Amino acid sequence: MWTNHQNLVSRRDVLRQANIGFGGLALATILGGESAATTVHHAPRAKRMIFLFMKGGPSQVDTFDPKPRLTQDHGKKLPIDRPRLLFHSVGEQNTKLLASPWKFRQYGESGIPVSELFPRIATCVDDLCVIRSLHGSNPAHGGATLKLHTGSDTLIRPSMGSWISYGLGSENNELPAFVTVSPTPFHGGVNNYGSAFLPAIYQGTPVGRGGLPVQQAQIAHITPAASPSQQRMQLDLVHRLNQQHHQRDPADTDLEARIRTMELAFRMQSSLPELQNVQSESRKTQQAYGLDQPTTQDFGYQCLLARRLIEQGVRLVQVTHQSGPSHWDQHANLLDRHPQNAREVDQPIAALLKDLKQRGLLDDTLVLWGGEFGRTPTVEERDSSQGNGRDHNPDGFTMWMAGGGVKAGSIYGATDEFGYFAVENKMHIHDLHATILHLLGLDHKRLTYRFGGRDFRLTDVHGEVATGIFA
Amino acid sequence: MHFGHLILAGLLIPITVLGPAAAADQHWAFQPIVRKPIPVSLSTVHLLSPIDVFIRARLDARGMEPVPSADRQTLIRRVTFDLTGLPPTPAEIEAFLADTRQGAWERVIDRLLASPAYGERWARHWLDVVRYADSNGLDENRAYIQAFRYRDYVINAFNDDMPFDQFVHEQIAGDLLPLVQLSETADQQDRIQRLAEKTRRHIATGFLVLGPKGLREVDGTKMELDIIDDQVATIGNAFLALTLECARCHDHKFDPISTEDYYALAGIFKSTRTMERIFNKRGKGDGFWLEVEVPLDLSATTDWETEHYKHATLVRKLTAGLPPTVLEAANIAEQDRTDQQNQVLTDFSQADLKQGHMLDQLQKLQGASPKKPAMGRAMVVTDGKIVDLRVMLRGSHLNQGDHVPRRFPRALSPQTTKMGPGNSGRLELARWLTSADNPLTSRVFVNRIWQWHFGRGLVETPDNFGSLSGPPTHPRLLDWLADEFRSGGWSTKRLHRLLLCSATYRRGNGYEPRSAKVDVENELLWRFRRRRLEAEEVRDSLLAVAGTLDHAMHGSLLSLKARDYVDDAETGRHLVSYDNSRRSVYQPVIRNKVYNLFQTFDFPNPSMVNGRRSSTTVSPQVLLMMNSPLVIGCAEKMAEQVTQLPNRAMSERLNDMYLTVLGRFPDDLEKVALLAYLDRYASRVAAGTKLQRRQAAWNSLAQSVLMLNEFLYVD
Repeated sequence: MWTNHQNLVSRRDVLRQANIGFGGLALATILGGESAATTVHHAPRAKRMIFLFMKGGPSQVDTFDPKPRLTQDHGKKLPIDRPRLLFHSVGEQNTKLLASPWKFRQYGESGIPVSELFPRIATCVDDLCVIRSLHGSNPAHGGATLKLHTGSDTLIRPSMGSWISYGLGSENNELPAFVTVSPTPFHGGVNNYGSAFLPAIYQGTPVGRGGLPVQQAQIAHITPAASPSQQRMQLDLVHRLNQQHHQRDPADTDLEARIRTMELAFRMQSSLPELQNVQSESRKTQQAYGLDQPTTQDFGYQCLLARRLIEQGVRLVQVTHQSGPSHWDQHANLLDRHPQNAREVDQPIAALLKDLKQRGLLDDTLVLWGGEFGRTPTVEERDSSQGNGRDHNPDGFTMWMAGGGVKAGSIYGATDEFGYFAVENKMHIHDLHATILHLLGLDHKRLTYRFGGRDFRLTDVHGEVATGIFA
Repeated sequence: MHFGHLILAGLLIPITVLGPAAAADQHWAFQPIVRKPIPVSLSTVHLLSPIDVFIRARLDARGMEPVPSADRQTLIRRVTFDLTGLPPTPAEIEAFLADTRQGAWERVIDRLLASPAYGERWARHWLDVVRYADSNGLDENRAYIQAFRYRDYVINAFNDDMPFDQFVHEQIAGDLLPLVQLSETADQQDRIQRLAEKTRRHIATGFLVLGPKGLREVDGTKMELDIIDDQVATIGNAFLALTLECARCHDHKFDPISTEDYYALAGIFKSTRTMERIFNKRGKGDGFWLEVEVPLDLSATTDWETEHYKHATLVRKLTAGLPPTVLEAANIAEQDRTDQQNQVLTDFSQADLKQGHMLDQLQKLQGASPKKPAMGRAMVVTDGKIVDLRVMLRGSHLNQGDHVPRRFPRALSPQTTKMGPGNSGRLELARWLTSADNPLTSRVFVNRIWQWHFGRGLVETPDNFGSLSGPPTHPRLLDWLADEFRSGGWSTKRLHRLLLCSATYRRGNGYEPRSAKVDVENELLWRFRRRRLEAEEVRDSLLAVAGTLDHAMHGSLLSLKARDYVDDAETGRHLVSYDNSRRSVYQPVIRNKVYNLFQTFDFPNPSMVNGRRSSTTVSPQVLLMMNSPLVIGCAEKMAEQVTQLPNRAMSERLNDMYLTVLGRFPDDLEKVALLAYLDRYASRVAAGTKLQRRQAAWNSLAQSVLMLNEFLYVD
């Protein structure tokens, strides 16, 4: 939630005169005792981040992690032990290997293989750092989504985005530090962008919600109820009376903060919708993001909005792809639904990467792509009306990063020859968090907050920074 | 013992940390409650309340003067919001200002404590502490459509001034508390009372059930242990202000709580049945929580129970002499009997006239069993299979260590209370919490009540009295209050009176630069803290001043069916509506998706124990006040009320509006500004008749008053 940070400050009259802007570093300095984030801990490689969240769990072995062994042994039984916890599979179910129905090809100078599901993202591979060794611990959507977003699948903890806004603040006084576009109402819902025990100002600001066409997405109560001149007149009266009231206790900075917040809110009524209105973008840009095509227009708008927001100083924008209730969760019907999902995001994501690059933003903007887990290399057999699919797999899956100081055109880590378990340069969700914070100039061990008598951090007691992905 | 450093407010303060091995006798919170004499001195001998003497002693020591008392207009608004969460009505303000007899203040307090709105306000404080919600949250969000019975129980407990020790016992072990035995002469009224008590106590145990749950946790054993962890953590935080949950994976880093202590307590809840089921048929975690039937109509249910008993006795008598095969056949409905069974019955009745008569009678009785009245359901716990747990190394159930018998934390309860093989130990736990040798429970609760009145506890961290908490600002006062509370029958209303009748509570909040220099945080209470209204107060006040607040009590506003998801699985549409005029305490609390207005005004995360709300100043709050249909609707209603009274001067109308919203009349300067605004606004409205333009101006003016800081803050 964007804000006037003054409230936290106000509790310390000593600092009352410190007339500093609300930018992150300055804020963190003022907060002093309440915040451990006194400054970025080291030179940041990225100043901001866009997270392209593929809800439901795209299949690694069908996208960025080709496994010839699956083609070779298609239909044979998986010769290794499966994990202790399985989501759908029981007993002998789901033990036969399933070859990827899609062909892989090497692209670009780096020669990174990408399946035919993503022909456009494939043209950007030289900018990607493909991490094939992610692993988590929870095989259910709710647990895994919460784990990815908050570091915990059982306890209510601040989201990664709120930690980042706590650490960095916003670069723009009139905008929130953390915006989440079309967030899912399911599987943790608000907790995925909530601030838990961090002050509410650090929680993500939702724009719309999953399931609602994003063009209709709005921030609550942003539409003015009266004309600008009427509102101006009203605010002038309120200010006058508030000032008079404030005279009684001029030292109360809460009252003062609220007076100033009113002006901010008044301005936001026009600045935010303006930002959401992509009509001002050139026709070419709109077409590049696929706004003219029904398949791509929803996610295209999300991606374009993400660029517009980070351009204006928002630190973290998350966009969520989840068309339809089944999203990327293909227990069945892999053959139809995975290509459909891919078509919806492929062009917009490629357009975003190229747009960022062309504007010189990619260098210090970290882009992250991925779901809450991957899928099993084995087949979940369904009757012919449904078509076969793959079960959840948190034990080895792929995410990719781009920009923000990561090694472009590289592959990091590996799964076993079936694509089931991460085996090389393993990166746990906690390691992913530590690495993201590091790229943003924050030390995950020092970004702490004291609550209920103890210090908390995003990575709890875990987390290794994967320096191997740094450029 | 080792030393650590904490960075607090930019200062490096060395602190002593008690390791788990350290003796508990070093930390203040674990010491017995000691009632020391009230430190009366020459300067304090005239003070009204012992509380003032304690407060004054510390101010004197720093050479500080408290600011003078607030005026009566301020006081009536302060105490009305404080006790009921609502603004005082103009009539209530006028009555108090007119009451110049001695004891006017005490009379106002008594009136407010007796109002049902008191329970609605103070129950909500407690609901923050017990992480109350109407859905399970965490992974997939299902409605707890019966949780409201626990919420209503809490409202009644506060309104009835249920002794706090009883309140503790009922929430933890209501199902295990012995009920009165009905005597031979018991009448219907006695039976109703007994049933009411039984029902109430069972509903109270909803406290243990309504925590957040990952119902689709694939590892069912982990799901169960997570639910137990929520129970242990909530009891620790809420009653003892200890973070017991820290010891799930390792000995507590700062407090003398070991993993053995944790699993000894966890064993009590492992022996308690909270869930109807954890696993589904395939052995996967797929949880349903436990519910039982509860009577909706006590009198009808008591009647039925009596009738049912009589009927069952008759049937038993009649069937005592029947051969088993005959009885079996007779118990089956006629249309379901096999030919063979029919034959058995025919043979039996034709064998002897008396036998035939018996069967006829039985059949008649079976057709006339008394009809059970409609029943409701409630979320409850019961005792389950009694077991002790093993320590789980690093919190993992896959790596189990030594067996630990169920007991209380050693540092707090050195003598072991034996828990039998036949009961979970919840009743023993509940009684130990309020026993004379437990120093925490009453200190913790007294501190909470203090904080809810004064904005800051004597201990600043209400949910953590462990060694990382700061020491109390007034340790002797805290102990005096804790002892007074316990020895005064654990009466919460008595405690309220004690605090509210002090001069400390009636202080003004004027600014005093000299005092501010010494004590900027006002820890020593040299003035009263101004506070922003809480989320519920904001909404309830809007509805109250608009005259549309519905004061109906109790019940559920959820329209979902049992275990329904709170969002539509296809479209993601939220299925919970907040569009009603009931008091905010009745609004559904949906985990993962708290009502927008609540969220905007710092409603706490309902999945965590939270004894102290934050109060932020953020722009979405302003946007809500400027643009939400709720605020605009309330402003229009208020304007309508003010303008529809005939034959009233403009100045009087402005008085009405200010008195309703702010509890005072506008001064002359303000009146000039308000009148000028009405004219200017009306002249700028483009369309409509003169009357319509005038009304539009009043609407805008009413909204302006609602947007004032003075409306949103209580002095």
